[in-house]
Amino acid sequence: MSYTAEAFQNEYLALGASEVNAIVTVTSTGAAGGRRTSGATEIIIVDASGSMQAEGRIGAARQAAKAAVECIDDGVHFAIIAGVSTAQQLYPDPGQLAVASPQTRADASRAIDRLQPGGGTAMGAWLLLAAQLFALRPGDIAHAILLTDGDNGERYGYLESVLETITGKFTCDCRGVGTNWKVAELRKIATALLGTVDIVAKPLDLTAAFEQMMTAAMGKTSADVQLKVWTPVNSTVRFVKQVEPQVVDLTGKRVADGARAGRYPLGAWGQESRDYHICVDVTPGSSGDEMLAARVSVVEGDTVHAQSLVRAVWTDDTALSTRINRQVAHYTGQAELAEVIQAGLAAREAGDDRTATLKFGRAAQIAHDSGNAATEELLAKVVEIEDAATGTVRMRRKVSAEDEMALDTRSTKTVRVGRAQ
Amino acid sequence: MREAGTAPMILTECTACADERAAGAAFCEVCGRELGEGELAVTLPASPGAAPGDAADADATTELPASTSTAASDSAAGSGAAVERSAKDWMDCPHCQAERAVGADGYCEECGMLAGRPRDHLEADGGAVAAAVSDRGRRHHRNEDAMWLAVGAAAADVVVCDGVSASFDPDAASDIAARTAGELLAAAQHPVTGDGNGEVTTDLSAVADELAAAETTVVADPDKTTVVTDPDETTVVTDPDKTTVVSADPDRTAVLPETGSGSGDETVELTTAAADDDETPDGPAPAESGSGAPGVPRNGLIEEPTPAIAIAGVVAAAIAGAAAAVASLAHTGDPRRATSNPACTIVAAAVRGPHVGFGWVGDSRAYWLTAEGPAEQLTEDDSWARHVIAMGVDPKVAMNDPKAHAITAWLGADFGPVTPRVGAFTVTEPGWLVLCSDGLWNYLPDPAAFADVVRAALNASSGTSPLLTAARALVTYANEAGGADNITVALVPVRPADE
Repeated sequence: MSYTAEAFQNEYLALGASEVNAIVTVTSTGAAGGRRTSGATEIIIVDASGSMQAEGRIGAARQAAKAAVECIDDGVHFAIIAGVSTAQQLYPDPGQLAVASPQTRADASRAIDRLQPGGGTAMGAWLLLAAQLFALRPGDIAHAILLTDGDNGERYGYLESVLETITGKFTCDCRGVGTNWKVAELRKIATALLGTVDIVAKPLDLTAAFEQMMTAAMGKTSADVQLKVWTPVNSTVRFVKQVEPQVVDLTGKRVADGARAGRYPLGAWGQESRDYHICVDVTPGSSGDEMLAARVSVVEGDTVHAQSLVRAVWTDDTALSTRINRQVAHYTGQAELAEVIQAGLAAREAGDDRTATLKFGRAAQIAHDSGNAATEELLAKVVEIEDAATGTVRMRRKVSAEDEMALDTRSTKTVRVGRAQ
Repeated sequence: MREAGTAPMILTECTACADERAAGAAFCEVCGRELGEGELAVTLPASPGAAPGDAADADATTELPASTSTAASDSAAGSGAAVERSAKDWMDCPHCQAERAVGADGYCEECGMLAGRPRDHLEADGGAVAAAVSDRGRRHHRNEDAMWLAVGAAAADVVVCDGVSASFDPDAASDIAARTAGELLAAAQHPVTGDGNGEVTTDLSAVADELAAAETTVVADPDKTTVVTDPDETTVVTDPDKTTVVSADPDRTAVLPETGSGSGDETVELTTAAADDDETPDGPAPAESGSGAPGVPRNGLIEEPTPAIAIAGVVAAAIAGAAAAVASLAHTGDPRRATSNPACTIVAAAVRGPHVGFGWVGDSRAYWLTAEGPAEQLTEDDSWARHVIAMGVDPKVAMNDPKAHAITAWLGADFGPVTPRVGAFTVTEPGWLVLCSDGLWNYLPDPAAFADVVRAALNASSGTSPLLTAARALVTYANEAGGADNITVALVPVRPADE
């Protein structure tokens, strides 16, 4: 795999300005198909709580899990966990991982057929077991799929404490089936474990969702890629956010690397391209000064794959300092879009329609201006968009829980600059 | 540095961005290079301060000494220091004084400040024939001026360019313009023959070829050329493939119009397209004269006008070649160049014995200066201020207007074909040809004051390289006056034929 990192910014700052913004696009290219540099382990966690009996969910979940197993490449280690009040390993024998082959995939399918609903929901325990299994193969690309249909039933704070201990150990994509689960809860897991969260409203769609996740996971070739950000003395990193394909705030995941640098985990990488927004506060220079505000490197262990420079140049020429960089402006807008949607949904739930209307209006405006058609469409199911350009919207009286949750989970989904224009 | 005069020059990136990311993850398809190449692929062999994308900066200035002048000397001071620094991997930071903190990319590992680039201060020493100095000034973060100086026996080619700061990568524009014009001037066979000036070097290309064949480093990439040689060695940057010998057929060169008696104060203008038949690699360049072409200096009595005018034709062709080179930048490198293409001004002159040909686009100037009296401004700025003053606006009011420095002509893809204005004269009394960017003349708008300061600098100079010392003194003058812009100044003494 070879990586490139390219910074987009307006390096010119007005005198006295101290905030430096840049979008860094990280792109990886490898040999066709991409060869994994290390082994891979997949774990599928299927909620088997009593509620899964409803609407034929358990049947669909079985189908989906089997489809996902079929997508696992030969040689990849895998396991299946049945989620009830405790975590139970469904396949292979407890405490072991299977090596994918036609034989083991068939065995796994038969094991999945035995999956019966009954019991509670204990996501912390499920994830903890997954972490223990992943620990059998350190250094692997570790990826899990978590499927649930309800609220976590564990005591308050337990899930959070588990997430704290397992963060960085594996990535986890979360899917909620139906509408009785909490977006915030799954988002918490996905964010901590650098994965995605989405709603699969209809059980019938589960198979496609699982196949898609597993195919994407099989495309990952590097286990633990990190963004290393060096900043000069007397400066602070205000935030580091992934902004494409979706907004993920990485600021809190910083691990210090020497006095001037920190590393931010990017998870597993395949052949793909992602954008990061980096904001650094520096000490302002005088006119004509040029400063290296950040040196952004894509690293894997001690290997530096690519590097990009974020610069700051102070000028008294306002024609230069007032230029707006399209990338920075666009992704600042996309991050705001996710925020106002979530704020709007929260206000709506609290019964504050006035605030909700304002927030959704702003969301409609940003989604429209930035060409984020997918989000605009989801938004239109929650509010009536009268005029997107001015952000004029009206609350809909009846909104299905499904549409509301879809808007919530997908609010962080972004589009690239210019792609939809 | 200045603002451009028309709207297209101040566009921020926008219209082409749809294209820029149209290919999504593989948007390199548009800019034609691998993602991140600008940041990563640039190697900085011996210029620790050069920033990515500025790879071609280091050798904007080239010295071409003739057999009479010693190769190099103090001229290496600017770039020489840089080369020396690169010998060590790490140097001390001039900003925060951290020891050995500045790495290969020129930034301090502690405070992040840029330690400096070789192009921040460049000097070219042509001994007694000419000297030129270019400096970043005190307010701009990089030097977007560029210069070229090549000298022979009583012959000099000099080019000064100033990047338009509102464009993208203006430093690349000035760099390629100065080099292209300089190379074309060096390659041209000046059609000066049979005028009794046997000692005049009319063909610098032979010198260049000899040097190229000898010990020099020649890099022939017209787009991004980085030439780093030992500063003690002579460096010639030229492109043999693109060298074209300009037609030397006297019948096809410009002729002086019938202007009457030919008295001392006669204004000489080129009325025919002197360079029409000159073949430049980038197409013919009509050297248009125009009503706006300035007169020759009052002191420059014309005896045999044809040689000087023929030289001016060559200068016009060189500027046209530079214009094409700058225009080509819009389609290379950073995609932002496409929306705000690199642009610069140019003033170029070729001196052959007593004959001087010059040409310009934009507001970089050429002056003629004698032992006494005010300096004669040879060029007429292509600027907003110049136009309104011509229409009758009070010069002081005009120059204080924010638009005063907006230029109305430049080299760049958005300006289209350039018709440089040119002038020519043959001197009858000794004097100095001064080429400079507005970083100097901004502080000396009055021709008398300009002459006083230049003469003072020349008179105060002594030592082995008095001209270089004088050029340095003028840069220091501008810096002490504020240094609000990049400063470039070139000095070429010119003597009459009979001296």
